Parts: sequence; structure tokens; C-alpha cells
Amino acid sequence: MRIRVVVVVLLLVAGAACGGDGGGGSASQGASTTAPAALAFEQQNITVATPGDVFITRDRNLLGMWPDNANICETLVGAGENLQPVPALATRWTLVPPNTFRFELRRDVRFHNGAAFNAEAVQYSMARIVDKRLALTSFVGADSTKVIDEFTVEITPTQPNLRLPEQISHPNFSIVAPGTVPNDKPVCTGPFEFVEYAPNDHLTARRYENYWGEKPKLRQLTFKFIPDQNTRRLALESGDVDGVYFLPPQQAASVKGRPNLKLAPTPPGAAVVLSFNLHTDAPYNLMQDIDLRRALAWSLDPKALADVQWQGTAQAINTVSPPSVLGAIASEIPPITNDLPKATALLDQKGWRVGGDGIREKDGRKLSLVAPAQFDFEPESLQFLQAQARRAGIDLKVEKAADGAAYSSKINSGNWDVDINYWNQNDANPASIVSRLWYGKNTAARIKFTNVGAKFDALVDEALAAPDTAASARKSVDAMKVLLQEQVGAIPLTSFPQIFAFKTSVAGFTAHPSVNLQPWTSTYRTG
Amino acid sequence: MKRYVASRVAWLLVALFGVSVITFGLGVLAPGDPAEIVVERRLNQPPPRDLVDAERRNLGLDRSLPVQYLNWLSNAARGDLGRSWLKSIEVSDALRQRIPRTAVLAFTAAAFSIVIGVPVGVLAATRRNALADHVCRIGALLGASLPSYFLAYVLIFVFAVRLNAVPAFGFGSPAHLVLPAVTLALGPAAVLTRLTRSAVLDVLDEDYVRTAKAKGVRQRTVLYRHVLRNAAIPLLTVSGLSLGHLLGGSLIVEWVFAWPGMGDLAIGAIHDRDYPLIQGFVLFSALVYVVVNFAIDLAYGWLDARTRGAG
Repeated sequence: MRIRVVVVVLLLVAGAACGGDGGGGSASQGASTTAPAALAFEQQNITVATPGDVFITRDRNLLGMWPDNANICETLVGAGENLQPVPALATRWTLVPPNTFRFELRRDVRFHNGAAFNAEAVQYSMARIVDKRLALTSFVGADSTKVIDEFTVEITPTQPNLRLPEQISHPNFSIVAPGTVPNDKPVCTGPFEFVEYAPNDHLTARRYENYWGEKPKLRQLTFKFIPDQNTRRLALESGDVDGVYFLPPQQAASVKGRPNLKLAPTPPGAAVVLSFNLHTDAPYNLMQDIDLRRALAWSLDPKALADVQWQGTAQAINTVSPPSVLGAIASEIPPITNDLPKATALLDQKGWRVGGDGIREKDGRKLSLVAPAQFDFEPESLQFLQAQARRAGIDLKVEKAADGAAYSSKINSGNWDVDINYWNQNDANPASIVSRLWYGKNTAARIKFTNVGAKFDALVDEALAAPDTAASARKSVDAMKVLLQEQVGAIPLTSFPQIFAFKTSVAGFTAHPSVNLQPWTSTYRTG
Repeated sequence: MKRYVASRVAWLLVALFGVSVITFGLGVLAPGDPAEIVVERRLNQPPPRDLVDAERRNLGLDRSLPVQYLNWLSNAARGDLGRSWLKSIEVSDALRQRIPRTAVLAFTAAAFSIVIGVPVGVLAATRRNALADHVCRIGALLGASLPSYFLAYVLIFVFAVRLNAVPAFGFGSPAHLVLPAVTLALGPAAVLTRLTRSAVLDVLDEDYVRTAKAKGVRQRTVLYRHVLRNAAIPLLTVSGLSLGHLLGGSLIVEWVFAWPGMGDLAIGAIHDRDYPLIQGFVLFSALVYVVVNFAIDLAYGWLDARTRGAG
């Protein structure tokens, strides 16, 4: 009898596992032309699963601001839908030559604690940012911010930097209420105000009723920290959460097939880029030969990588920055074309002969390249790149790091040939990526291996000193032409989106091309 | 007995000293510069060298290794395990926050494993070679062989996604406890099932059991009074070691279920190379094992007079 009971229970469980969709398959996913009706305001609460609690490892200095941005805080300048600088807490900014920016502040703005937003608040916030060393590449120093009057401030970087307005669109530069410390409770001016933060569990914000701009449709927004990506997806499928951050492409396909769920990818933003070690002695000196760099570039097929490995969610790119931050002139940089015959012919011409194992060699030296890859890189993508390089007789010895520290250690040691990583843009500065990764005046350890020379540095100088964003984008593109075409100092491969997924009952979410500047004001529930 | 206890305590200290040396050594040998990690996390970009050097001095990493180790050890002896490099929290406070959560999960899982494993083992033994025995043995084999992360996803899929009976993840209510505790319990339960079955079978063949049966003592009384009591010593050993393992933090299961306990803390600390936290976690885990083993040794004496005499 007891055995029969056990068998029945097992059959029930198996039936549940194999049966129809338990999440309620009646919700439609089709593209409707009319906006679905919103629930009553009291029911406008959503919970979004994000990767593990990042605030706890950042001294809670940026609680609710970054990287999980609950729209609690705002910056003087915002990053628009194409990462262009747009007015936020500053309505206007002008350059006061040679190196000062004057910001005119928005009036009638109140912090969540009722205090008035004014120039003093900007000065207080900038002092905190400098103290916390969050203003590094913007060169904002302790004495940089000057109060002109109640609604005007001037910021003078410690060294020439005309990219300041774009750089301060990064959430690092959030403005907090004077006298408050955001570590435990951020008090800002954003459309949502802080409710609570439970380390390793959740962060909750609610609509700020006295917000100066368009008020959020949501009453409450909760970020649930779920470190495991499979659990995040299963939590969405079970209905425990209403949305999830950062779905891998493979899981996106599974979500796509579910009638009660939908995907919301950002425009492609993060870029997969190969960089070369150009300045180390043997045995890591192979990439000092530009023809080898060129041959490797021709052997790779970014479009195939995007289509096959990213299942159509990524796109091949010709720049190292997201195209949206550069504008239309991004297309001036010719894409690297996959041309295997050209790659093999060049290698033959240079005396690299194919050995018995299919790997080329010359003077007893194999064409083997040590290629460290960031720890969270998709293994399938790495295998794909290896297979493509091998067709040209190039042995890409990929070393996927165990974690970020191991990756940095490897890169900083100089014991590598090709660096495989992806880079994000989270501000409106067109010169951000070029100045972070190859610019000789940047003192980051990796630069001494990757810098491509004086001509590139001079163009980045000009990009950083350009009077406006468009001019900076132009100079950044010129610098990229040197980096990618003249020097082949890097190979941009694909730009990929961050994939969000929601229940179909969540509407109005508009994804931003950055990783972490997602706006939540237009999001609402329909069921 | 006092001498015995004293010697066990001395071994405990030696074990902890060894653990501290090994943990410190592993931290030193691991690739990656902790100062660079700290600054990179703070800035979210490749850090400049001057800031990394300053951070290295700030963390005391510019001192010699013996000095670093002795500083840490002397502080640890006073209960000061240092401050997390990346989290704004004292290590001892982090452990204090996480231990109760892991303890709840561990004791629940241990209770589940006993509640499932022992009766099923007894059932299998008393129905030897019958259908029930075969089903129990296959179940035990599966329970012992399935990796916990796989089992976790299967349970979430069935009971949270399909049946919508319990939450898929999280912490805070008894319902949240069900899936992680069952996931953790099934492995030890399988071991207990097999062990109970074999221990009960051994005891069932003993003369005193046959005598009791011949005298007409009821089957249930024979089982509980004679068989289970005598099979308890190996079961206690396994249960105790399982509890020690569970209390040390079930890394994968806590991670999968977003259960903010010791395992979750340890994975984050390892990922971040947050050495003070890693050292605190390893010391705690080692301490749990040693203390649990110590308690098991004492319990032997309570259960078995022969052991008491030998001690």
C-alpha cells in the first residue's frame, strides 16, 4: 500500500514536470499596437532579479545608484537614449575657457528628505566623489567645484579635460543631499526614493511623489539579488519575480518560447575586442609584427561569431566603442573583413609554413599565441575564435581566467599575446574606451603593453580636448582609424546587448544601450 | 576523561593552527594582486599604478609574509579576524550574520536527512530483497549520485516553476527553507539509508535479536529497543559529519537558492579574493568539523558503555 502511495506521488511529480505551462499560458506576447491598460497604482509593484549583491562589495558607496541603478539618484548631466549628453539636474552647461565648465542648475528640485537642491549640494556631492576616489579619469579634484550662486556652479578639472560634462553622466557622479552619506541610505532627487536595503537579499525603492520630472508609473521597484543565472531565469518562470537582468543568449532562446514571458534586450552596447601585446620581449613578442596582427584579423569572422554564438542577439562591429556613442561617423571606419585566403597568403609570404599539426611555424617557432580571456567570457565563443584562427594555421592558446583577479594578474604580467575581453560604456564620453585601454597617458598597468604610439595618443588628446561631443566623437573615430586600420592594435568583433526578460504583464520598459543606466519611470504592470 | 578531553582540545588548537597556515599560504600563492582587485572594484576600470601601490600599503601587503601572518594570527587569537577588504564590515560581524542562517538550513537539512534516511533504511532492511528494498536502494543510489546543483534545478523546476508550491529562491520564511533543505538533505539521506539498511541487517542477525524474537517480543519493540540502538553508532558518525559539512556552508546550494549564508559568503569572498573573509570562513569551517567530531566522540561514550570504559 505504502509503495503504491509513493509511486502515485512520483507519477504526479513527473506529470507536473512534463505537463503544460504552469505559469498561465493565456497571456499574449504578440506585438500589440495599443498600450495595455495599467493596473491600479496600489498594485504597481515589480520585483526584478539582478545578479548578486554588488553594493556590498563597493563599500555601499553607491547604494541604489550603480551598478544596479534604481533611479534613486541623478547626475548633473544625463546619458540619453543614444548615450548623448542630455540635461538632468543641470539644465545647461557652457565651457569657460580654458578648462572650466559652468553648470546652470535646475530650480524647484527637492531631495527625498525635503531639502532644496542647489549649488551647495553639488559642491558637497563632488567633495564626496573626490574623497571616495570616484572621479579618477575626469580629474575632478578637491578644489575643482566652485559655487557661483545658488543655482550656478563651476567645475575646473585639475588638468585639461573637456570631456567632463559627458563623463559626469556616469552614476559615480550622482548628487546626494548635503549632510547625507549614501552608504546606508541614499538621499537624492531621482524619480524613486530609497525604502530599504537588505544585504545579499534585496533593495527596494518607491515612487518619489515630489519628483521634478515625469513621475514613475510604478509604485514600488524591488531588486532581488540572485547570483545564479539559472535560478534567476527559473524565478522568472515560476513567477517569483517579474523581470530579470542579464540573461545569457542560450537562456534567452528558452524564454522566447514561453507565451507569458518576453525579452527586452538593450541595443548592443558592450563590445568584444581583441587587444595585442605590442611591447614585451620574447616569447610574447609575436604580435609586434603588424602582418601577424593583420593575418589574425582576416582569419576571424565577427559576423559568424555574432550570428552563431550569440544566436542573432549580437552584431559585428567596426569600432571599439558602441556605435551609438559615436553617431553616424562610426561608419567611416571600414569593417575588418573576414578573408581567409588573404590571411593564409600573407602568412605564407612572411615565411610561416603549415606544420604537420596544422599550426604554422617559422625558424622552429610555432605561431602559438597566449590569449588570456576574462573569466565570464562564454566558453563557446572562445572555442569559436580558436577554431577560426586555426583555419589560418594560428594557434590561439586561450587561457580563460578563473576570476577577475587572475585575468588582471595575467594581463599586468605582460606574459600574453592577445587579450580577449569585452568592454562596456556607461557614460556619454565618446573617448571613454580609447582613453581607458590604449592611451599612453593612462597609467593603468595594461597600457604599457597595448599602447599604439604617439599618433594615436595625439588624437586621443584632441578627442579629450575637443570643445563639444560631436568634435570629440570625430577625433575618437580618427584615433580608432589609427588603432584599427593603421596599427591593427586591436580587433573589434561584436557588440552584444544585455538581455532583460519580463513577464508579459510588465509593459513600458525601454532598454538603454548602457549596462546600468536603465530607466524605470515608464515601466508599469498590466496584470 | 579529563585527560582525554584535554588532549582533544590540544589537537583542536594544532588543527586550527595548521589550517591558518595553509589558508594564509594559499592566499599568498593565488594569482592576482589583492590591492589591484580592491582598487579595480572601486573604480570599475583598470586602475592606475599609484593607487594600487597606495592600497597595497594600506592593506599591509608591503610587509614581509611572516609579519603579515603573525599580525593576523595575534589578532585572530583575540577574536579580531580583521576587516573585509571589499565589504564594509568586520569579518567577525559577517560570520555572526551568516552563521545563524546557515545553521537553520543545516539543522533542517540534517533533520530531513535523518527523517528520510533512517526509516527508509529500516524499511529496506526489514523487507530485504522485496520490491520496497529495491526501490529504496535505487532511490538511495540516485540520491547519493546526483550532484546537488542538478538536483537543485530539478526541484526548482518541478516544485516552484511547475507546481508553484514553494518559492524558487530566497530567504525569510519557512517556505523558502523547503527546497534548499531538501536538496541538501537528499545526499546525506541516501547515505543514511544505505548505512541504516546494512547496520540493521547486521544487528538482525545477532543472537540477542533472535532470542528476543523467540521469546515473543513484538517486532516493533525488537526494532526500536534492540536493533536501532545498536545500529546507532555508525549512524551517529555519519549524521555528525554531515552536520559538520552542512554547518560549514553548502556553497553551491546556498548560491543556487540565493540563500545568504556562509556558503554564499565564501563564494563571494573567493571570487573577490577577499582574503580576510576567506580566512575567517575556513577557520570557522575547520572549527565546526573539529567540534562536531569532538561531540561525536563524547556521544559514543553515552551510547556505548564499552567506549566509555576504553576512554
